[in-house]
Amino acid sequence: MVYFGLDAEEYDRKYKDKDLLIRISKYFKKYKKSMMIVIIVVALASLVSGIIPFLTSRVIKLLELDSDISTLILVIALIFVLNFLGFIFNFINQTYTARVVNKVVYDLREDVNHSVLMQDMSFFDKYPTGKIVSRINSDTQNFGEMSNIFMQAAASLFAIIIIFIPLLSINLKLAGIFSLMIPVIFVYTLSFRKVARKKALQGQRVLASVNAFVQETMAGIQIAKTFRQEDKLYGKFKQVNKQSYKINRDRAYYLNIMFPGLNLIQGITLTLVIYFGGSQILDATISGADVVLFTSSLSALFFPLFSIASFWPQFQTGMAATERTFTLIDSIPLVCQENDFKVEKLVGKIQIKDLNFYYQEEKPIFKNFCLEIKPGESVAFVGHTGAGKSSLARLLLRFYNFQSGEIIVDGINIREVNLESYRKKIGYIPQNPFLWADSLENNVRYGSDDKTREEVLWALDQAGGREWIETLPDGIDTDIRERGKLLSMGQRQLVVFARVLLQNPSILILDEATASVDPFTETKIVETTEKLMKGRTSIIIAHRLRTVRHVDRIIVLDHGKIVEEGNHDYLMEKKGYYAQLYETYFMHQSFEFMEKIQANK
Amino acid sequence: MDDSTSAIDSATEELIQRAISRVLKNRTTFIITHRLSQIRWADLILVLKQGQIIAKGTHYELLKDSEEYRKIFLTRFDKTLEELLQIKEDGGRN
Repeated sequence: MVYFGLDAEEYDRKYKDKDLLIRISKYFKKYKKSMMIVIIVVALASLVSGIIPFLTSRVIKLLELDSDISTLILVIALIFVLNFLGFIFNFINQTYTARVVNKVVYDLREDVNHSVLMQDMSFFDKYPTGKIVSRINSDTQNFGEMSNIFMQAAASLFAIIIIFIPLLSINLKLAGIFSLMIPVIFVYTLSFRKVARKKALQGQRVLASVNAFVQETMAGIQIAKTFRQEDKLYGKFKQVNKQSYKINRDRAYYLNIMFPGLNLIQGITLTLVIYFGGSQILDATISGADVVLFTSSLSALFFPLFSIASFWPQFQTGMAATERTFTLIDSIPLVCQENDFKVEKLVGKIQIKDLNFYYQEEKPIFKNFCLEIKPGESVAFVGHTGAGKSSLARLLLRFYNFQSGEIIVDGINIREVNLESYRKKIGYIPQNPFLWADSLENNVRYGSDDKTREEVLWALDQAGGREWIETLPDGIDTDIRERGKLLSMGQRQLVVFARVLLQNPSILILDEATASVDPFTETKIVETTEKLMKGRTSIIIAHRLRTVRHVDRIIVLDHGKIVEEGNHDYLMEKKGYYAQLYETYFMHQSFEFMEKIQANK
Repeated sequence: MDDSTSAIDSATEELIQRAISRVLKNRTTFIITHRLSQIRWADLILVLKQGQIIAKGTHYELLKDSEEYRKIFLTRFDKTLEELLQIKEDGGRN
């Protein structure tokens, strides 16, 4: 199997571990008090868990000496109280740890999200959404887990010291057996890490493949049914499912084998302790109670040892996640305001001077491009894919940074304009309408929060009428779902048109949709387009014959250069580049074409 | 046939039109279409609105009788009704 997209991203940086740790500690600084509490209660809990086996062995000693029953009861009561205190300390520890970890994740997510939202479009072009999402979600989560692992390990270390030190003073030989066990546990645990990680990764991937298969099946269910392929699909699913079963089973086998193994190590150590302890009892060099102290300490030591052994690899994963998160926070957007001129009103005069622009240096889009558009003029851009039509629209919207030259709108260089006030004055209709999972009303009002319901209704009226809205379950209040999937393609376009009508921009940038819609909606769209163009500077990436016929000026672009300009009739008569484009892209929309096709049947 | 809605160039459009006309031959065909050329040559056109047939007939009948149907052709082709009807009399069908 080949996996793609596992390489490092371009925005990945390399941080020194020291720098990372300093930054991590900054996130925790805010919660210094909580963390102090955690450390204190962890220390207390370790102390308690160290004292209990010790006290237990004292109880036995007391029994051996057949001393006063009241002392015995006192010690037993003490053990009970200590256990109860242990419960309280652990409870506080868990509560505060959970709070700190989640608060830090919360802060970090805010920072990452803010940084991502501030990026310009070149960033989103380069990096697939899924990967950014995983950095915002899982990497920050891993970061949080790391702090948890850290606190756990600190607690474990403390516990080991508290439990182990008294043992040294009691019997060196038995303590020596304990010390031998420690490297064995480390080696054993670490030997599992690598394979366990590989298995976990396989498990995630196989899950992804099952998901992908189910998703595809559901997407194509209608076609599958028409071609009677349900059985075949079922058979295929069984295959994928079986693969998933095998990988997950193996993974579980493998991980589960680790714990019996640890038990075995514990058992062997116990046997050794009892053997050597027992023979020392016979020699009368150790008391029975002390041997009991060793055996009960063994189980108390086991879990802390295990968690320290697995600390480093887990911590490394966390550090990697942290690094990935920080790089995202630190990536610098290319588009930045060089000044802060606020735009109050625009008449929509656009001057482009010596514009140079590329996405990738070796493939320039514009070279010394010049253009002037008069206020209120409607301009259609036509040309083959890659001619630069969309790029020009994006640059006007300042979605991308251009390398040199000037774009001047109403006398202001757009590098120096306050982007928020500028974009407010520009109405942009992308080729694929994007709607939010919200009510229809809020989707129309998007970006113009101050508008009333009446105004929203007015905008919808202007954009082809409200008739279709009455067919929705809750009318204008209907939640139109993710991307507006409750609406047809044509309806989505009308909503976006209404949105821009409500915004009432000075400059309209329209990327005409290429997907056709039902004839009735299409008619509405055409009419609304013409309404939108009225009284504004309009820049249209045209795909409709009707549009190119109606605009003041058509600009034919080819490889970032203007090769022809003029109106439709003039350019058709010229029989040049436009006339060729017409035959490719527009002719089939004409009445004459319909006639010709029928005649050829 | 539920007609595709994706955009294409004129040459592909022509090929698709031809292919469709071959598929139609000797078959009872229901077409849900966005292509006006297809609509125009159907034996019977049904105009649906909210589950109701609001108009039916041939292209020419509907041009005369249905305002909504007429609007589609007038807006799309920038022609007057006279011009659209004229074509039939000119023998555009052949």
